[in-house]
Amino acid sequence: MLSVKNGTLDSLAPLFERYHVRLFNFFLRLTSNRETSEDLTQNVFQRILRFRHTYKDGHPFRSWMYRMARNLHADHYRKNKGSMDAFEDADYSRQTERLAVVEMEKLERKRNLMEALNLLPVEQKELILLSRFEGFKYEEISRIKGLSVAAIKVRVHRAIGRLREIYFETSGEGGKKQ
Amino acid sequence: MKCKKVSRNLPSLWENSLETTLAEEVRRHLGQCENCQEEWKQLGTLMADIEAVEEVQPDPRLRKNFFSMLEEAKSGQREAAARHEERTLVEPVFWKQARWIGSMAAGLALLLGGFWMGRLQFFSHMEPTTVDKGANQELEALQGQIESMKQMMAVYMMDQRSASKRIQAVSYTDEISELSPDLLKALLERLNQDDNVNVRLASLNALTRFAHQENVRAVLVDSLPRQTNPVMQIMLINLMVEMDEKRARGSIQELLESAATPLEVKNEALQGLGQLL
Repeated sequence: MLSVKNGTLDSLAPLFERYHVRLFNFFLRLTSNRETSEDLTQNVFQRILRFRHTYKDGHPFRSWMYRMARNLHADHYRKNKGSMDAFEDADYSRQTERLAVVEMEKLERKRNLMEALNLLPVEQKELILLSRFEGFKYEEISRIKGLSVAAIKVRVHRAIGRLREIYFETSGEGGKKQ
Repeated sequence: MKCKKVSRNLPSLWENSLETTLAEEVRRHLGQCENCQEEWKQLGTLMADIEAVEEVQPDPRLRKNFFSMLEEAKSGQREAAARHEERTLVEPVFWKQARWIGSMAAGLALLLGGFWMGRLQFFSHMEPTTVDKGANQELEALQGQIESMKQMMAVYMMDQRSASKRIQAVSYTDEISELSPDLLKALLERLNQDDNVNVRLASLNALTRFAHQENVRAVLVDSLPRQTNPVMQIMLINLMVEMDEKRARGSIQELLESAATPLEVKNEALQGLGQLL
């Protein structure tokens, strides 16, 4: 990234190769829309180019990039609030026809997981994506979000707990707690 | 240990980040409590399912779009370098300096320039005695306004890139004395639609020079409700007051009433309305 900052724009290409699929998936899980996710991914790299001068030497590139990604998604979310894209399941149904029963079950679970994720408030969803799907450490998320590590940890754990409840639909059985 | 506390600590246990004594306590509880045991299992399943989610491949056009964007950026970079060289060779020193002071300085210079030209234009239509009386007072007010605007612009422009070709293009109109319809249209488009506020400001200043023409006045009045940037809003409000343009009362009133309008702009709007009675 340092060489991009210093004007060797071609150095962005390997960074794109390395991260664009992950970023695309990050957005896809947030928005459930392929086209939007492609646009947002493209926008991240556009911003990296435009704001390359603001990249600080020694700062982890990935956190810097995901901070932009988060901001872009937040903008997108604000603009589209109320008209959030419907869950895109055309791909799944097309594939399922061709798959054996076992595969179908696997897909079914995956779909349930995505649906459970979609039921989380956007902040919790984002925390789960960053920590569990993107594999960020709490320290890194705290840099991305500008919160303390302890606060991030508590929030991620709370989000995981909530996701588990939705995923297994146990939220109605609160009476079991002693 | 209560189930609630156990439940809260399960994610940490899963991450192996629980201190030993607490972890042991939680494990002991899990051995005795079916509900928590179930929750622990669910957590394991959830984590495993998350792990198992495969990546979706984006459409190949994403890569294509990226590389065409990169090419565009590179050619932009080359052009900038070429321009730099050209100027170094050909242009007289003072022009070279004048053009390389960066967006902030250029924007400010244009702002001040436009303001003064607007003032000159305005005073030239007045009786000399009125000028003498009001001039000092207004001069002070104006200096104050410019000072606060300088600050606002400084804040606002901090993250902008350097002066673009569009600003240069707009600033070339400083040297012309008559505004053709095409040029008016082009400036108007910059004023109302450009993404970059520097360009919009430069266009406003360029148009202000011709504010004695009725058609220019009309489009300036029309422009105020289209501006969303506070600097632009303040500039236009001040201009409307200067031109004593009563047709702008409506849109200034709207700015004053809108919840989205920043406080600084509301202050200007309030003052402006008072003067436009």
